[in-house]
Amino acid sequence: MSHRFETDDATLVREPGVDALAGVMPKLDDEPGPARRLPTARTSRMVADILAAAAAPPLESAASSEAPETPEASEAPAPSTTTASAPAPRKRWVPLLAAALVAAAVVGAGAAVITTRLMARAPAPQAAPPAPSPIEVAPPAPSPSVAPPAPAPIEVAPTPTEVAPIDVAPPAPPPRPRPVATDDAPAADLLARANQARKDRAWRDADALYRRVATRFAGSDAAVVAQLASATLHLEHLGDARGALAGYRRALAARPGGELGEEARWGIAEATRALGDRAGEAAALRAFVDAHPGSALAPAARRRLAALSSAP
Amino acid sequence: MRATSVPGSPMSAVDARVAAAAAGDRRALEALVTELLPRIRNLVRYLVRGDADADDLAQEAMVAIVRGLPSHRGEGTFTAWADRVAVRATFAGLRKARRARAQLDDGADLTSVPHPDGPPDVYAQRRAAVRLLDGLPDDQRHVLVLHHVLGLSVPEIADELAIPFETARSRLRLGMTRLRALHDAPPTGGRP
Repeated sequence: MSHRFETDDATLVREPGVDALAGVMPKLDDEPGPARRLPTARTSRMVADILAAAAAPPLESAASSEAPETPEASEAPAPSTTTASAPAPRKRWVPLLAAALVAAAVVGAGAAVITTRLMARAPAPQAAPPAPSPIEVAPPAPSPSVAPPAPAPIEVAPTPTEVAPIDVAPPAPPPRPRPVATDDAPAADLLARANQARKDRAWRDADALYRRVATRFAGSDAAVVAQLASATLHLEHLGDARGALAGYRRALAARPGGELGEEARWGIAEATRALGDRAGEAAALRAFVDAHPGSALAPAARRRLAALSSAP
Repeated sequence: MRATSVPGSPMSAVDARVAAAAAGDRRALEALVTELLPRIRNLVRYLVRGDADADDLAQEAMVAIVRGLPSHRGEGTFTAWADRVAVRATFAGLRKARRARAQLDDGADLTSVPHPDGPPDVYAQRRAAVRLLDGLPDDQRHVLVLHHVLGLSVPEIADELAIPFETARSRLRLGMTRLRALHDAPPTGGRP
């Protein structure tokens, strides 16, 4: 692979010694990495979010200078989705997706479940296998000079099941104000706000909104999804593995089966690992493998279990 | 959109899926998104620091790809086209993010619990690669990724980034030098 660093481009100056870096940046392929692996449920939700967002009008207008052009759009007068004056022909799936997927996203977990079912019937994609996710837990959020306030304990929790606010791209209809949450705001509005806050890295604001969904819509799929999202925030961004563990356990109690259960069980394993609780982690991994033997994460869980049992 | 550029030639599975998706087949679209998502997530992660932002930007890139399907004319491979759209969407997203706040620079997501598979494996090596890339200035990082990961030539990079040829070349050279220094530097401690 040394040619990648030496480069055969005659316009480049060859850098001596770059062979040592061969393999550091391999060409893009279907192997896993460097994006972190995701649990199947999260991948499914991401697909649902993408489809819903693509079908929905953008929440923010994309300044033309910021909208990504498709390669052909910049080279030919072909219809471009990024040209406001030449709106892309709306496809038949747009209204369908708007109705089905947006609604599914609003209902929370429904999106993941529906998407998965649809995908099960779809032509088998042979893409890179859904990445078995590693147990990666972000350390406590980068702390300012002041000691961070203790994260609020999780009561209920969520997952990004949003109709993702999309700012890149396309033909920009007039800007739509971000949904304002009122006391009677539907779950969809709250989730949209929570997702936007997460996107803005306002972790605590996002968490508060997710917990609000979980509390106000207790018992619904949206509440469970929100519970999971909140737990993930606590684990990955708020440095609160204990709170995350509690959140995952609540979600699991509410939906022990299906993809939500899979995500909750995996989260429990991640949280116990972050807490340094090896026995708890092993128990969580065993429970995960028993309940979801066919999960894309099952091989990683078994490997981790083996490592735990062989380590002193 | 034409999904194949060679009349009479058999359509590849991907081409057929692209054509069906662009024609309104919802299942084909879902399958296409599902198939493409891992690649785009990886590409975006090469380009940006931090896993959380990478996923948000990857999602935006995927939306841009889906919305851009009608403009894909079937010249070249679909994945190459999708890569370009993703790169542009990512740069647009980064520009917006920069205006809103300083770009994240912690790379904190990587200094976490090691992957259970343990090195050496492809995944671990690539995570290590982006950890090195996280130490580069954005302008050098982007040029390096476009050249080494996507295989773009310097003129193509200059065109893609709208910068002079010499600037692209200079960034590439500086980036490689910096990357080598980071690669050869002793570990600074902390978790892998």
